[in-house]
Amino acid sequence: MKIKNILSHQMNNHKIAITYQNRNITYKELHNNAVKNADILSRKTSNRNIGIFINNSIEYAIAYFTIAYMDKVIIPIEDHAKKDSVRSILKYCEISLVLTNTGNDQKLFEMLADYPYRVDIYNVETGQTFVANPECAYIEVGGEDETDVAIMLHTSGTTSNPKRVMLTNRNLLANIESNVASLDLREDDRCLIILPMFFGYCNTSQFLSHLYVGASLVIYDSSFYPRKFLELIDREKCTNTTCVPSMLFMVINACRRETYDLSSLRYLCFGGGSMPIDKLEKILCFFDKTGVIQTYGQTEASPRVTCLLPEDAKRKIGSVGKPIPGVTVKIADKQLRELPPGETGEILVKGDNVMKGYYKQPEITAKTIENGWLHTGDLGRFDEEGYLYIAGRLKNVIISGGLNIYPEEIEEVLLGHDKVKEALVTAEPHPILSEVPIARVILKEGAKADGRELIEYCLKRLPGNKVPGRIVFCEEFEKTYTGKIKRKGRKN
Amino acid sequence: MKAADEKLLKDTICNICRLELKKEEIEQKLKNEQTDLIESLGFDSFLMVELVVELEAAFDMEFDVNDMDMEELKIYGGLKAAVEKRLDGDV
Repeated sequence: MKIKNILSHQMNNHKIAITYQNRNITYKELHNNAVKNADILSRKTSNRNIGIFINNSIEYAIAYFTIAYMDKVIIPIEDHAKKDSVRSILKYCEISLVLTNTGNDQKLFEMLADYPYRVDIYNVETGQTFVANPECAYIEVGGEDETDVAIMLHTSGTTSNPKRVMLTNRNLLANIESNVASLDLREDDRCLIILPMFFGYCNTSQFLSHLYVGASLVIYDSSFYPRKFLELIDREKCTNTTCVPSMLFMVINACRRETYDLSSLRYLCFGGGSMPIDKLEKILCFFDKTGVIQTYGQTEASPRVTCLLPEDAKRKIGSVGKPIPGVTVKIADKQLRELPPGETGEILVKGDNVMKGYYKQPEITAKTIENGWLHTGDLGRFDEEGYLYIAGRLKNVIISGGLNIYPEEIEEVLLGHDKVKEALVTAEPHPILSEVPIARVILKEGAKADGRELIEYCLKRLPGNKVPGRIVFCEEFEKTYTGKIKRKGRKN
Repeated sequence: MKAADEKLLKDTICNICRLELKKEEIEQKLKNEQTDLIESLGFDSFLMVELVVELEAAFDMEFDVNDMDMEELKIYGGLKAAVEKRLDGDV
């Protein structure tokens, strides 16, 4: 089975699959749209990897399944990404065709002025095609023919050296089936999507999992706002949703519970960042009639690894739960020996959900997956009952507002400034975002600069959430014996 | 907008802005009503929400959630107009 079969098996289903901005699309209509587009596009030249540059919407779903029906690889591109980032993705993933919608088509076209390759931009709403740089050739494919790969999702790395996680049909279907089993997802579920659909968490745990069981999706149609979020659950009688901690912090701070009827909300999942226990207690109190489920995972694991079910939410507060069906987790020391309960080590994951690897990065893949075990880069421990607790992070990532920010990406930008000799980006706590980046900088000899100058420089080149909040000027950094800046793993 | 109200609006923006810029530097940017809070002051979608929530508390008013357009609110002039509209009771 492939992910395209999730929809093709429901080609005659007249049930509403997705609601967005007062519009509905049935499973049958979604299938027919995808078939029509796939038929048109299959007659055009395109490389194996096809981009989607569309905001959360019905059109995103149409584009997604269009590519799946073509048996090509889906490459979601964040619709708020800046020009350099978009061009870098197109080049790295060797994309010659991008599916967009109205508004994003023109935006993309403008971003590709002077891009050295031809790119076809297809609007799934209108059927119109723009051609960026028609006088150029299409980019050639350099990577291996990864025929079993369904989607490549962005994870860490820099603009110049990104990491794209290759997830196969088998990876996705394994995680879908695990989700469905662990959360008892049903055909009569009505799932509210507020996370970005290009996010690994949303892609599998919400979007695909609910379509798999023939449920309905309600796509939130604007920027997250706490009162609107609750109002939508009330109005649409949503049975479940998934958030990141920052969203829930805002809800409990800004909303009066009694104003909304949340009786339909069977469960609320969250993940993607740390959750202080005092805030979790308030969330459990606010959503007292709803099953609150804390989850843990990562893109490389398709992504869900564990969940803490509602019946354990208070008893095991602070834990991220037990592995979901089909997923095995162990805690290991540096020699990969399994550690007993109570001892802290790296969290390793095994199962059909573990990624194929990083696109065009076989050496990094080989270090990340050893004998089928995925190195998560997270530290954790099990208790005597097999519940997992996250203890810290080995890997170099900042989780801000539920989104991963990779320090190297910001450092690369800072090192592009002609006064900066070295840069080191780290995390600082923030009451709403959990963590935000700050930068430590060593200037070149004789150079003078202030924090404002470097912040302004970053504002022009990075999305808002990645701009360092402050710049700390240093004389030197601690280095390893090979001369690399020493980064320290972080403990909770 | 009354001077006192605009001062409160700007102070709230300064309080939420997580970038280490001097208050005068932020206020200088806000002299241009086309200033985009995301592009020019490092706000992201969450901080925009936090800003709106804080403004509701500061001005003791509520935005209509169905009438909120973050694309408009992220521009200083749009945000100022939206606050003014609610203070004037033109909902």
